[in-house]
Amino acid sequence: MKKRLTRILSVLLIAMLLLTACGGGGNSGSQTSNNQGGNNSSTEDKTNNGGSEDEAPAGDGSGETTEKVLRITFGDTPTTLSPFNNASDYELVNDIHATLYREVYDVETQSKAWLPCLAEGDPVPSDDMLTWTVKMHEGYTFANGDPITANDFAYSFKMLNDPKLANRNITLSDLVNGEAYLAGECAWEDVGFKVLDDYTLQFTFEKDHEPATVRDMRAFFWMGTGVIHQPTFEATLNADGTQSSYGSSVDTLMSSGLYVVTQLIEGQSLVLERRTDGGAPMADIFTPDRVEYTAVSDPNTVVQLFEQGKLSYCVANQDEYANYSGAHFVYTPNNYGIFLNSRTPSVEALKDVNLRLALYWGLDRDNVVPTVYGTAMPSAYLYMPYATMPDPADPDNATIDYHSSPEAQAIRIDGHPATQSGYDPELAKEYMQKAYENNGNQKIAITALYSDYNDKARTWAEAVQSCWNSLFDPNMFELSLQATANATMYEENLARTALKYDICIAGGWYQDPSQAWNNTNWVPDDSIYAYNSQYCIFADDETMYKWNELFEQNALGDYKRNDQGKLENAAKMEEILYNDCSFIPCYSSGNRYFFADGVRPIVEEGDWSLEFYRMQTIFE
Amino acid sequence: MLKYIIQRIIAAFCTFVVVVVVVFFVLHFMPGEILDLSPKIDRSVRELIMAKYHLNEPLIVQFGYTMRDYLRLDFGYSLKVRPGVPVMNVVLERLPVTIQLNYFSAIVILPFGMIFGILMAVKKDTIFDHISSTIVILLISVPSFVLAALMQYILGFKLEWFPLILEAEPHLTWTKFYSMIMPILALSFGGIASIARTLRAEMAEVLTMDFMMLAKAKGLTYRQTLLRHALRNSCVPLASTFLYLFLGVLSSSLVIEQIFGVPGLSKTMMAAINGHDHWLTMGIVIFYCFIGLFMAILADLSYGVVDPRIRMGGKKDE
Repeated sequence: MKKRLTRILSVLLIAMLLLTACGGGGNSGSQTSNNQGGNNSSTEDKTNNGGSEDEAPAGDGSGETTEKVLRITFGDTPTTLSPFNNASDYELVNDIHATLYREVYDVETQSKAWLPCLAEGDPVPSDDMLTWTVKMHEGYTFANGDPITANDFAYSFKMLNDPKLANRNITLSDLVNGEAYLAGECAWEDVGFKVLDDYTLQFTFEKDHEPATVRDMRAFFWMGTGVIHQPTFEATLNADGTQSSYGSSVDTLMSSGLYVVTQLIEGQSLVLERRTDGGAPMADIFTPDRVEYTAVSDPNTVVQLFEQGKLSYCVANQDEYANYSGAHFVYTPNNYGIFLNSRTPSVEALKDVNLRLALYWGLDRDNVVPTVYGTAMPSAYLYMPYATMPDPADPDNATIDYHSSPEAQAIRIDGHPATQSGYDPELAKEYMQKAYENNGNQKIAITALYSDYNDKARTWAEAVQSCWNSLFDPNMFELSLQATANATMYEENLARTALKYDICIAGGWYQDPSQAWNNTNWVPDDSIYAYNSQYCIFADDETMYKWNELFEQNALGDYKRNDQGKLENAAKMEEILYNDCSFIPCYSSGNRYFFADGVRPIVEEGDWSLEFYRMQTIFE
Repeated sequence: MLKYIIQRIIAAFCTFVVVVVVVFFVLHFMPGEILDLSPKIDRSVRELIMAKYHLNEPLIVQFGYTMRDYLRLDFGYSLKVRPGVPVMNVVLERLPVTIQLNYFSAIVILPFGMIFGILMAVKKDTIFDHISSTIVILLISVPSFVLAALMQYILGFKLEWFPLILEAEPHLTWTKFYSMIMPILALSFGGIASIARTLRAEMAEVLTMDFMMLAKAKGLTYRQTLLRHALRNSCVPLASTFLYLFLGVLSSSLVIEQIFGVPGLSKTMMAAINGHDHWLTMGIVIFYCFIGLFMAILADLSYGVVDPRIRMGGKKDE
C-alpha cells in the first residue's frame, strides 16, 4: 500500500510538472512567423548580412552595417496590437496598421504635422464644414499583397464602431447618427459615412461636432482608424461576434502599414520588419529596416543594456546620470502643483487671495523642483511651458509658441507679469503681510495633504513645506503636513464633489499642449464646463462663470474657427486662473534620454506624445 | 483512507468556493474604475461598453453572471491586459517560462540544500559549521532581489559572463537556458539556505539519539547510519517543505521577473490588479487556488509515506 501510494504521488507530481513545463503556451504566446508576405526577411537572413545583435550592436558607428536596426525597450509587450483596443502604443500600432493620416515630424515645416498616409492629399470640406471627402491613394497593399481600398477602410471603420464588440477606441459619436447607431436605433447605412467609390470616402458630421480645420479633420484619423484585413479579422472573432483576439499574436494580424510583425513573444519581445514590396505608405519618412523591442521594466537593467551597446537609446532618470552629457528630454503634458481650497470652511485665510498669491510667488521652483525631481521642468505657468496654439495666419499647417505670443505676454497677475520661474520672495512677503493683517493679525496655520505614493512624493511635500516655512515669518504662517492614501486621494479629497482639503501638495492636471486652455472633462450634459474642469475649484462663482463663458466661446461658439479670437480668449482664461490662484503650478515631469553612437533623434528636444519620433530616427 | 481523501476533496472544494467569492468582492470593492476610459469619451460609448460587461448592474447581479460562467468553465476574456484573449489562454501563455525557471531552481535547491544541511550537522560546532551558518543566515536575511541585482551588476554587467536579461527565444534552448542561470541562482539561494538550516537542526538532534548508537553497534558504517537512519528521520519535518517547493515551481517572483525581463505570471498578475482587469485577476487566482489546494492534499497524503507512524483517516483512539 505504502509503495503504491508513493508511486502514485510521484507519478502525479512528475506528470503535472512535465505537462505544464513542456506546454507551448497556446497559440498566442511566443512565435515567429513569415506568413504576412511583404518583406519577411528571416532571422537567418539578418544574421548573414551582419545584422545580428551580437555582431553589430545598434549605433556602434562602424558604418559597415547596412541594415538600420532600432533596438529599444518597453515596459511590457503591448496589451494588443489591434488598433481598436490598444490604449497607449499609438505609434507602434500605426506602424503596423496604416491610417488615412499620420502624425509625424515634418522636416519641411520643422514641426509635428498630420501627413497623408493612406490618403491622397488633404480632406476636402463642404462649405458648411459638415461634410468632408477624403481621397485614398491608389496602389497601397496589405502585407500579403491584397490592395487597400475604400472598402477596406469602411470595413475597418464599421468593425471599430461595432456595438457588439464595444471597442475601447470607438470613434463615431461626432458623425451624423453615430450615437443612434451605437444605441441600436438606426442602421449602419444611416450613419454619416459613405464609400463614394473604390478610393473615395465621405464623412458627415453632426452640427457643432464638425472639425474646425483641415488639421482637425486629419487628426480624426488616429490610432483606432487603422486599416485591418477583413479575412484575418473575421478569423479572430468568437462565435457570437462579441470578442476578437485580433492583434494578440503574429498570426492574428495583417499589416497595412510599413512594418510587419515577425516575432512576438508575449511579455518579452516584439520585432518589426520593414516591408520592401513597395505597397506600403510612408516609406520615404520612416527610417529603420528593423525594430526590436525588448520588454524590460527595471530601469537599472535598461541602463546596463544600453551601456553594453544593446540598445539604440534609453531612458535614464536616475540621479547618477544627471551630469552625463548628451541628454535629451521629453516633458509630459501634466502640470503638477499644489491645490489651494479657496472655499474651505476650516481655514478662513485661504479665502483671501493675498494668501494664495503669497504662496504662489513664494515657491522657489527653480531650486526646489530639481532637488526632488531631477528630470522635471520647473514652471509657474498655468498652461504648459511648451503650449502651442494654431497660428492665426495658417491654422491648418502651423502653430505658434503660446507663451511667446503678445496675448500671453500681456497677462498680469494682480498687475505683475507671469514668468516661468514665478518666484519673487519680496512680493510674496508683501502678500503674506496683507493676508496676515486680513486674518486679524492671527498666525495662519494650515495642514497640507500629500500623497503617500512614494518617498519622492513625501520629499516633495517636505521641500515645499521647508521653502514656505523658511521664507515667511513663523509668527505669520506655518505649514504642517499630513499624508493621505494616494489610491483614494482624488475621489475622497480633491474631487469637486468632495473638496476635503485645505492645501493638497499632490496631483495636477493633464493638458493637451496644443490646446492648453481646454482642461475640462467635456461632459456635455452639464451646462457649466468649469464644474468638470481639472482646475478643481474657483474661489467665487462670478469668476467661474466668466471662465466658462470664454471656454464655451472657444470650444463651441464664435471662436471655434477664429484662431485669433481663440488665442485671445485662451490668454484671458489663463489670466483668470492666475488671479483666482486656487492652483499653484510647479513643474512638468520629464524623462532623460540618451542615444547610442550612430543614431540621432530627428529633434533635439522630444515631443510630449511622440517623444523623439522613433521611426524617424537618423542612422549615421 | 478513501474516506479521508474524499473528506479532504470536499473541504478543498469549500475552500475554493470561499476564495472565489472573497476575491470577487474584494476586487470589485477596490477603489477606482474598471473602465479607465478617457473622461472626454462620449457617454453613449461609455454606457455601451459598461452594458457589454454588465458593469452598470448591481454587484450581486455581476457576481451571478460570473458564477454562472464559471460553472460552465468559461473564465471570460481579459478586458485590458490582453483585450479579447480568453483568460485561461493568458495564464497558459505566461506559465511555461515561470515553470521552467522554478523547475530548474528546485533542482538546484534540493541537492545543495541537503548537502549543506548534512555537512553542517555532521561538522557541528566546527569552523565549517560557523562559516556556513553565517552564510545561511545572510542568504535568508538578504532579499532575493538584492542578490539578483548584485549578480546582474557583477556577473552580467561588469564581467559579462551572463546575459543581463532572459534571451528572447520562443522555446527552451541552450542559449535561453544559459540566460536563465542568474535568475535561477537568485531564486535558489533562499531555498538552499532554508533547507540547509532546517536539516542541520533536525539532523544534529537525530545524531545524538540512542537508535544511532544502536545502528553503529549493529556494525553499520558511519555513512550507512547517516544516510539510512539519520537522514530519513530528519526529513520528516521537511516533507511538506519539499512538496511546497514543487508548488513553488508554479509561482513566480515579481521582482526577479522585473530585473531579468522574465515574461512570467507575476507581471501579468500585477498588471491585472493595477489595471482593474478583474476577470484576468480572478482567473489567475482561481488557477493558483486550485493548484494550491491540490498540492495541499498531496502534502497531507505524503506524511504517511514519509513516516509510517502517521496514519491518514484512521479512527481516533477510544
